[in-house]
Amino acid sequence: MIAHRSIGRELALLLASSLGLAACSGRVLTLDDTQSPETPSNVDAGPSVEKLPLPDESGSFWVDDTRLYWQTESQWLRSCLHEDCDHTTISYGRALGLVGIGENVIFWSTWGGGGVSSCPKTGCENGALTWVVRDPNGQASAVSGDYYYWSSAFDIFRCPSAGCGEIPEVVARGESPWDLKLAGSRVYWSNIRAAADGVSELSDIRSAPQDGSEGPTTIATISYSYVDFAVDTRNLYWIDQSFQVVSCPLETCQSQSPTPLTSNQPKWGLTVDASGLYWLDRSGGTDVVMHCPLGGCSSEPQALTTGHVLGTWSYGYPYALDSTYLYWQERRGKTGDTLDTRSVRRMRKPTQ
Amino acid sequence: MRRLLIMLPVLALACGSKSLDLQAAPHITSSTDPTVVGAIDEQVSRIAVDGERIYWMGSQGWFSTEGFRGTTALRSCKKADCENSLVTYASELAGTQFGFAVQEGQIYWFDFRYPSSEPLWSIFACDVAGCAAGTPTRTTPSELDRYGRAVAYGSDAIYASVHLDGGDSTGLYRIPFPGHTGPAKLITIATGDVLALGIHGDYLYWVEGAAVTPAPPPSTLWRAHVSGNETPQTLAKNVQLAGYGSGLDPDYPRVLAFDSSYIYWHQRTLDGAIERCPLSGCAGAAEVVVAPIRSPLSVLVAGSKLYWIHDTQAQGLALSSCTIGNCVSPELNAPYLASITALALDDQYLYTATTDHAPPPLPIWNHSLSQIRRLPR
Repeated sequence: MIAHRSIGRELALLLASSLGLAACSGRVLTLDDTQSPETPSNVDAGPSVEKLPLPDESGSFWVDDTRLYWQTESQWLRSCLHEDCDHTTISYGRALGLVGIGENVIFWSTWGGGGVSSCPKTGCENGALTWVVRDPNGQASAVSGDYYYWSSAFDIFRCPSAGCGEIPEVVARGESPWDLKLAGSRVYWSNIRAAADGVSELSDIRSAPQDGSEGPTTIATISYSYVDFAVDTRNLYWIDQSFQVVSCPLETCQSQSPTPLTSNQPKWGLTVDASGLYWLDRSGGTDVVMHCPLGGCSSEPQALTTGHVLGTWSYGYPYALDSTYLYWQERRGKTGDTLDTRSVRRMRKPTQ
Repeated sequence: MRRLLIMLPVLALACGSKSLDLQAAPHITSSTDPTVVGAIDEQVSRIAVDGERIYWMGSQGWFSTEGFRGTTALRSCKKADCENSLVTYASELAGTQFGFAVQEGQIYWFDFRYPSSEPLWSIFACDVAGCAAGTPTRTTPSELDRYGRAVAYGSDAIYASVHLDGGDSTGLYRIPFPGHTGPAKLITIATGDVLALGIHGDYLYWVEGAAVTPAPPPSTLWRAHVSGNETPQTLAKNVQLAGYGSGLDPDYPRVLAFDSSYIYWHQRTLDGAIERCPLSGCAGAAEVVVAPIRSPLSVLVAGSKLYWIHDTQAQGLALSSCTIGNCVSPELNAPYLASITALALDDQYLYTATTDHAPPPLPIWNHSLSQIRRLPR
């Protein structure tokens, strides 16, 4: 007998991953009631770290410049303003997970065979959400503006937040991405294919305009599969097989060797924005958010967090970025084995 | 001679053990709607017809995020008096994915449960009027005591793909119906997964690929003579047969359809299509017969008419059709279908099963009532 797969759940979680937003597998993370709500010694240790309390225990969280979003233990999707969470909390609906935060709306995966719904970030009027699309084959996804992008079987589609209709807009045909990212006006994805030896696998990083007006092109071919990559409007970045972050210009990536930007400490969860590169370093047994300027680490990468960042999430990264801050959740207690789900820490991002 | 009708692939899979009265007959009611053969308190998937009776697999239970929970039965009733002519052949099928066939007064089906809980195939048979002593006959050749992937029913034999021991290859077998001469025979060996299997004339057709996630590569269409005496031919490459997940059963065998000159298949994406190649193979790219179709899920050819079941945003599963060569504006024949496999033909009618409405969102998805319908061809 064949077990049913909850594809919608994977869809949502993978999307969060592709956005570099924090997400978790939806597993129950509970506070230990027998423990006093201790704060790790590092938290609030310096003036640069703020602690934002949440009104609920959160299973996962996401951010934009004005709001903090989280999924409660009972899978309600909620948000509040950064500065006054207790008095500004709103609920959107029950969700398998948040799919992405657009310019004016949020997208989340609903119960029901790969369904995605949307709602204004300020709340659904009269509880009315919009049914964007239902696609049981949906896999990697991302959000830009108020469009939802996703890969499905052999195509990449997009839908506006108002909904797709019967046939979605086609961004690219004949593609089978397992990861999807957006930068500038383009979509980037990685296709996995067999290498010439017939045994090992390669990743083709491909790109097309977000409106599908031109066919896709190959940006780079990387010699292993399931590459952790990030992209901005100028460069492609990825964690190579020796755990170095490397990069190359988008225009010449296919024809030149990538430039190493970091040491080869074990790392995962690569994200890029204008303030630099971020990733998680687990070399010390816990996950620490690291940072380098876009040009590379002149000496050692900078460890931004010094506490126990949650590091066992099945999907997504346990940190998030908006235009000003880095956000994360930490473990607490003397043994550090319990996640503080009632708050989110943040600090200003480094400048370049 | 009763006409064999080939069922379309799977929707439901049984994996639960909810406490239901498995021996209880479904409640069947007649209808004033002339297109309704009977209304049944089951989710009807897979339909076949012969001259007198209509046959179906029916499930009672519900879909949840964990899959189907409930039971599945194989039943029939007379077309003319369904309410008073119910026959149940099996009441605890492990699933519907391998369908069944009706041939010369016998009904044949696969089940997983005999002789143990191991997932090995077995073929069962009953007289269409009812099983002797109430018990199906097991007719499995020993060659088939393996895990199966896909099934096609011919006029005198069953064709099945089974995983061979010690590797990823798949054996394609011909198993004569009981009463027909000859032992089970290995026709050929496929090197990949067999995603779809069909029989037409003297050839067995199949699509070979990898049912992997998240990025299934395009597959290849093959055919081989049922004698096993000819080298298999590649008919088409780059066959984007389907996505890998219906959301209900990611592994169900996809469907192939035939007319006298062509083989048809469907690209099951939201921007999908039905394509075809000549039976001898495509010289170049496959011909697109109709597109775009939102997630075509099965296809059937009846003369010059092409029928397909597909997804819709607002009306759940739907049945549409067009005349081959004139498919710019397809006709919607029936919305709110009960399953992606409920489609069969006789000389006069097209048979399908509908519900009253599109299924509600998961986690509770309970098709408790289906109408078996016959629509003029």
